[in-house]
Amino acid sequence: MNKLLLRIVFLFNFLWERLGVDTVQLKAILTTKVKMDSRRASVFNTQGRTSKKALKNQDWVSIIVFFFIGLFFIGPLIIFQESATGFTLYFAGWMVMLAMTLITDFTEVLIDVRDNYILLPKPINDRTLTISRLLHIGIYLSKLVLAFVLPAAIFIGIKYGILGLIIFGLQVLLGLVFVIFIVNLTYLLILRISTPQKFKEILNYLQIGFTVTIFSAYYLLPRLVDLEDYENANILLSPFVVFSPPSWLAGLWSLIMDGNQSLVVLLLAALAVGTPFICGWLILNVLTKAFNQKMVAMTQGGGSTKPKPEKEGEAKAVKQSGLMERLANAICNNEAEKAAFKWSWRLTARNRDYKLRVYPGFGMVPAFFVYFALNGEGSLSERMAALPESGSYLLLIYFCFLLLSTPLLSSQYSNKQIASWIFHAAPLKEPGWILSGTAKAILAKFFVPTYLIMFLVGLGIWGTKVIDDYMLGFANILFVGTMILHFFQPKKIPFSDSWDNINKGANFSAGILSLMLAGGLGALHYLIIDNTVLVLGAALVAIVGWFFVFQAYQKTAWEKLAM
Amino acid sequence: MDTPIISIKGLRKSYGANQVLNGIDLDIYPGQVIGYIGPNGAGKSTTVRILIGLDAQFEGEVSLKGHSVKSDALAIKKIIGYVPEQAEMYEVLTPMEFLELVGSLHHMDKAVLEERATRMLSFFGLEDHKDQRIDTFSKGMRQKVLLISGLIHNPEIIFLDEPLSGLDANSVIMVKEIIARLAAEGKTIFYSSHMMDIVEKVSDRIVLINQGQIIADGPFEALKAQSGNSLEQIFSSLTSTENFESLAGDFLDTFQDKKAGDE
Repeated sequence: MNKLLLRIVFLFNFLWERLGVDTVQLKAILTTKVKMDSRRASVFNTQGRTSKKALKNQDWVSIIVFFFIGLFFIGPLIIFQESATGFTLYFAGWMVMLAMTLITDFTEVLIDVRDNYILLPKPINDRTLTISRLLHIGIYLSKLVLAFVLPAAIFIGIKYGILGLIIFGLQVLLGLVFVIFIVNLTYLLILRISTPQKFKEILNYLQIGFTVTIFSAYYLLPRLVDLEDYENANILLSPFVVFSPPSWLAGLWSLIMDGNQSLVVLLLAALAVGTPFICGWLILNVLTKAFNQKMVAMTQGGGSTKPKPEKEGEAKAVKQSGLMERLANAICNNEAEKAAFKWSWRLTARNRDYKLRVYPGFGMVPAFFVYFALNGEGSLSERMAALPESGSYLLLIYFCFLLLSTPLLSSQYSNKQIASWIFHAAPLKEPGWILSGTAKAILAKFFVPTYLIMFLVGLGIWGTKVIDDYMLGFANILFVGTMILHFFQPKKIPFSDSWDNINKGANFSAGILSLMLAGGLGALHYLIIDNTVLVLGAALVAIVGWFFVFQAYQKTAWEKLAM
Repeated sequence: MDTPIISIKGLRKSYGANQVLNGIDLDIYPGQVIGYIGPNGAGKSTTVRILIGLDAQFEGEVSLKGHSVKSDALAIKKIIGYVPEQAEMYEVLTPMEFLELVGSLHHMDKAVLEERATRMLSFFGLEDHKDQRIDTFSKGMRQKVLLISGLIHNPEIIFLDEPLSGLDANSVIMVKEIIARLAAEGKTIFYSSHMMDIVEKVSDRIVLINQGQIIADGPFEALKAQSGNSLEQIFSSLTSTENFESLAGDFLDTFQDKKAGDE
């Protein structure tokens, strides 16, 4: 696949040469970059590093994922009577998908600081560097784009024949130029409003947002929209259509395939054909230049800009640490536990991979809840109205378990796992206090605050009758949490294992076991839900259970650690 | 003497208000091994970055082999080899793949490139690892690959920024020998480092900078006559006004408070 694409690129060597590109260097750079891409882990394939065989399949995983997402997206093309509406939705989904993938997944490739050390000192001219970067994006995108549009292409080929396919291909090409333009613009914008040092941080949050958005859209949209009413919708009647690039592409189709020559359609089609040329010119002549300059600034150490954000960060950290200190003093039993508490509190806030793994949960749990709570017969408003009468709050309570289990299960892993030597070198009689300090930090930082918010939500919807249930839920979740720590999961110093191991053997089964236990306790809770005395009694039992297990956990000896 | 191969005149460079280089004047001749030393933050890496054409934002004139760094960076990059301080490599590649990239960027013939890369790798004992990915390598092995990548295209001027970090004693001896041989062949070597004992042995001219200025320049023997016996002593007598013995005493004194508190 890659080889074929590269060969196609090199077919146009005469063209690149005319643009001032050194084709020998272009070939060396592109071949290497493409090779590196195929060895890299991506959002859709996080286990890329393990074995050589897995690496070969890496491309295919992304391609298959995109194929299925593409399949999912042809829905609008089939449902809507007015082709412009269907195409607008199709291309909207397509463009958002591509842009987000490019921004989140491809960024570490595009903004590869190693380029500054490896490529810049070599005799390569600017044009070669720029064109190779653009072609690199192109190759990366074309694989995903082909996989993505294949289902729609088949559908269109069957329904509209060859002409339809040609028009569709044209739409896709024009759309690609938009996407690259928008991605370029986003990069520059982020770099403009923030310093290069903060850039990766922001991208991290974008990535988290992306995960949550895709997830919620997938689960919630079909719930919230009543499809029957929209089948006959015609997007061309809306005046905002002129401002939406996907509609421009759709307009092209309406003009040629449907023979719709209304003023709106003509305008849209003109925009579809015209703007990519303007965008292409802007990319080549304005954006890449600015982009390259920013890139160089990123590694120059940038003495002028660097100290400032760090100081700001410090000030913020000091403010936060007031709360952290007080909490540590309040809930930790000794100095070792306190030290571990503060250490984990800080690491969980700064460790990018940890955040990427844990933070999306805080968006997904509400989405899960809405999905299940509104699942049922009748229209949306009917389902909403029925909510306070239902027992759905139990779902809400037990979904919160994920907000404890994910941070706990992830807390053993880090990219800097080797740094944990410090605990082995320190004169610690038993590591249990380190483990419990981390557990307390996660409880205090992630679980308790969100559970409180969920409690307020529950109180708002269902009233005071849920108070006892929230108490039992809290006790149960705490209990299962310590069961994970003490029994299910192999014990390790926090942040001392590589992320590669997170889905292996006992680490994986710890997650499954704890889900089963939490689910089982939730089911028992459901059985006694109407009996307040029983519920409170059960809560007491769970708390006592938690207390004893956690006590034992705090005394974990060195021999009990999994190596 | 012939014309200088590297010529620096009135080089000044600042990041905002922070003046990093403050008027450097230096002529370097073919075949010289320059030991470029100075305390942390003295401007060593900045000088190297400017010399290899990565940074054109400076005042003064800098030229290599007659090519101005500002206007003709590409011509300079063709004749230099650079081993950066940060051991940045594309780590998912194998050494052979990485060297192939570097060689191709210098327009090397593929057969020559492959043969030379293989021989250089086995010279450093990496022949069994040549098709393994760099991310599995130890620090020393990476450094060896990095070193080879800076030399493989047979450059005329070689910039080494801390080239020996992470290497074991035998490899250090080997690299020192290589540097001496390269210089004997007329290559110019610009060696920037903190490791005084090695700089002392490999370089035939030592340039000491502090706060962006050259404060000593000459063969080791001449500097020795001037102040101190080892380069370390010369270094500290020129770059620091502190008395290290009393400083070390102060450092140990910090334990006193704690003891008092304990008892």
